[in-house]
Amino acid sequence: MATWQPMSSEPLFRAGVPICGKWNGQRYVVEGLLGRGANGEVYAVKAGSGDRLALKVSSASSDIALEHKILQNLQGVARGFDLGPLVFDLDDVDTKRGKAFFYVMEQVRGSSLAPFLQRRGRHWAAVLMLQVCTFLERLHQLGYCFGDLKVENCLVDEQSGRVRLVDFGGVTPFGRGVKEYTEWYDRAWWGQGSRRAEASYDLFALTMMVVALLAPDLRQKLSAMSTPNFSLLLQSAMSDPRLAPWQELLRAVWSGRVTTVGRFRERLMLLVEASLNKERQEKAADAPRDFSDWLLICSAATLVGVFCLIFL
Amino acid sequence: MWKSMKMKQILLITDGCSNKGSDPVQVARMARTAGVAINVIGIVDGGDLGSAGRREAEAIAEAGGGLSRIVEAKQLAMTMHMMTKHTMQMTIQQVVSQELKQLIGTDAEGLPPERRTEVAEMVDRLSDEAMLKLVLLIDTSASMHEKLPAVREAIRDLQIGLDVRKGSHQVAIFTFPGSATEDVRLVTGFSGTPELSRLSDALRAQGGTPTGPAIERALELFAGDRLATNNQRGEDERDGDMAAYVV
Repeated sequence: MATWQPMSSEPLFRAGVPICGKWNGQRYVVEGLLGRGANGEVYAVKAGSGDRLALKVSSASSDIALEHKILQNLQGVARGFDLGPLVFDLDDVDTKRGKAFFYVMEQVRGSSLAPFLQRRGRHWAAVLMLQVCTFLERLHQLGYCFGDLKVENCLVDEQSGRVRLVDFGGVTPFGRGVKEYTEWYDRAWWGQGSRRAEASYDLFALTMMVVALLAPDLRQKLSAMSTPNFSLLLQSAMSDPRLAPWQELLRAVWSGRVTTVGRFRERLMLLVEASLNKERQEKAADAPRDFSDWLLICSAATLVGVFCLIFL
Repeated sequence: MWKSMKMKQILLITDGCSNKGSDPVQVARMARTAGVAINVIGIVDGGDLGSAGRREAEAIAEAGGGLSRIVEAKQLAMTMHMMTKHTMQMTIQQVVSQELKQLIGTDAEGLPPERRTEVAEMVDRLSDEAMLKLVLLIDTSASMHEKLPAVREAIRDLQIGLDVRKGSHQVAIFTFPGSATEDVRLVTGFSGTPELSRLSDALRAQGGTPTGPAIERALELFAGDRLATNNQRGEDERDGDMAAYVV
């Protein structure tokens, strides 16, 4: 059977379609499309056991196999929390449009970062970034670069304020060329270094997440230009009042003074403390407005505390 | 044999239909026989890439054993990078599959998924280490004019992507039509760091789209290059040459 060619605009599966793995015989029912990219499609599925999972399908058997292997490596070393989604089945499926390759993983739920910040306040950005830092530090310790780090690949849990990363298609062993990337976050696109997988590559993407989250119109303006203009980015970011608390940190990374996530996190801690203070003041000002916000900020403070314990 | 592995690719970037010289699909078939894979990128915005142009892009890639993608000028960089890489992997995958068939009577996809992972890791490593010879064929007909900054940017970006590979690479660039008097013009011969500034002089709007002759010139360049190396080493180097395997 020929392999499915993801040429058409039509996704491979519709809701309600059953999928049966050829080798392992596991059954899943498609509940909906979660995302589509150049390298495959991700679906929400319900397993035979009733569990709700995510299924990534692609026409490239080797991409799927390698990604599955990396995710397995990541969950094997989890101490307390998982680096990536838990992974399960790896299999093939015959469809009407040809043979396709898939793996099944935990379905990560959460909200996008931008709307979350709108609801909770911009000063939350530091707390979110701190969590991404912690994640990256552990990933880097294992010798992997995340690669395609971007706002769209982060989800935050509304209740706990906890950030999880999704789409591990870009995860690349240090030293190799980054497998997947997005231009805005790619330092090579901006002319600021190579596309080699290393800690500083992710760190650059992290700073671009800050700009994209706090100054979205700046991102729109700069990406609309036909060629990247880093000096304009630098100039705009350094004069943008919304990025004021971050300017020193951004400059430190862009000038090459800070190259590891550990150093970045140390400096970020100061911002987080300022954010927590701000939250406290605001709450004191308009007192028992919303109890859930308090819960959220407390849990975030605990998270921060736990991270510090782990690393110090 | 893996150490000295060499890949040959042509990447054709166009926004129209060929209208001059030999039939590009037929030339693409010749390329495939010579072990050169052809990828085609059709640029949609602004140009006259109608359904005929799309069909032609697909037909050339299919005859040339490569891929075709229809994209906007903005997506050019990403697409070039991805296609070059995928085609290298495809080429090695074919070789590995043939070896597997001889050894155990099945190709990689006939293996259980877990065992396939080992093959995938090997293919991934080999395609990172292999030597790549790439010829870029760039359509410079009138409608391409405003997309040329994007093309230059995409070539710079491709270079960045190739630079982080373990294996070496050499890139040559042709434009077509070359000038009023010649159909195809060699902008820069095989080089590890092609001089992109020379591309801006070469890129000027001309009439006619001699796609077939452009592919022919690329094949001549590959052939000439091979003669030269054979003379130098004075021995058969087909062992490491993927040309011997591509089907």
